Amino acid sequence: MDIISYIIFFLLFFLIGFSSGRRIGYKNGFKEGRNFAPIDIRKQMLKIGKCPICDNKIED
Amino acid sequence: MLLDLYEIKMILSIILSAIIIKLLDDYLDNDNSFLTPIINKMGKGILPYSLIFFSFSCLLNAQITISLVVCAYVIGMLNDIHRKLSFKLKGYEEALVVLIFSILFLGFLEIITSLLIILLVQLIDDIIDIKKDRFYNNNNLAIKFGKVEIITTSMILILILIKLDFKKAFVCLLVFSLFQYIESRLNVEEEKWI
Repeated sequence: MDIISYIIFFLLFFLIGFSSGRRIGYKNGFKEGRNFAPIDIRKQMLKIGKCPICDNKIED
Repeated sequence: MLLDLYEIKMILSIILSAIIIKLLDDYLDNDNSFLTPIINKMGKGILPYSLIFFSFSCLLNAQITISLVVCAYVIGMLNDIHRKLSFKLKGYEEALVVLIFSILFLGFLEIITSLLIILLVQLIDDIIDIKKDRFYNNNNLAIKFGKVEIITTSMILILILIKLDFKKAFVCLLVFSLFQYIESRLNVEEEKWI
């Protein structure tokens, strides 16, 4: 096998690894973000004293 | 000799094929390119003019012209594979029939190199047009699959083409870059997507 074939195979394996990793990463990231968002929104709300989504103030 | 008669004929036929493919593509998609004024002026006359170009191109080098035009047709067809066409076949069925016939007549190597070249041109074009297509919400492989994936695939295709038919791939890419250069110089469209 010559050098071009080696490079082709290297790029092919890189492509497979990169694209599958990216897609798996997107899925995991989405899940993590969905779990994190409510906590973060609640934290922001307590910090600034109003809801960051609807802008309503917290009533005691 | 570096450039004998065969090669000059090949280069000219590739340029003519590129003009035909560009004309038909812009005519069918109503794209706004440097050929739009010519297409608007021609109107229905685009069919005879394309056929005349095609005949001259075939005179120069029939195999390359036919394989390039057929492969451009096939790749263009794959954009929307499920639409029904005039012969009541679906897009991919018609592409398959055309491919099988052209492989029978022209040989496997000629068709596969042309197919890879047209695919490569399509991928590079998508990478160049990514901002514009994102703005206009066009069909773009670089947006669909990701930029890095498309760049890596293009590199793989270039290497495979170097192995299979270096001369043809080189001339085709040269003509493609020439067209891109002309388009970038003459395109009057406002670049508002940047």
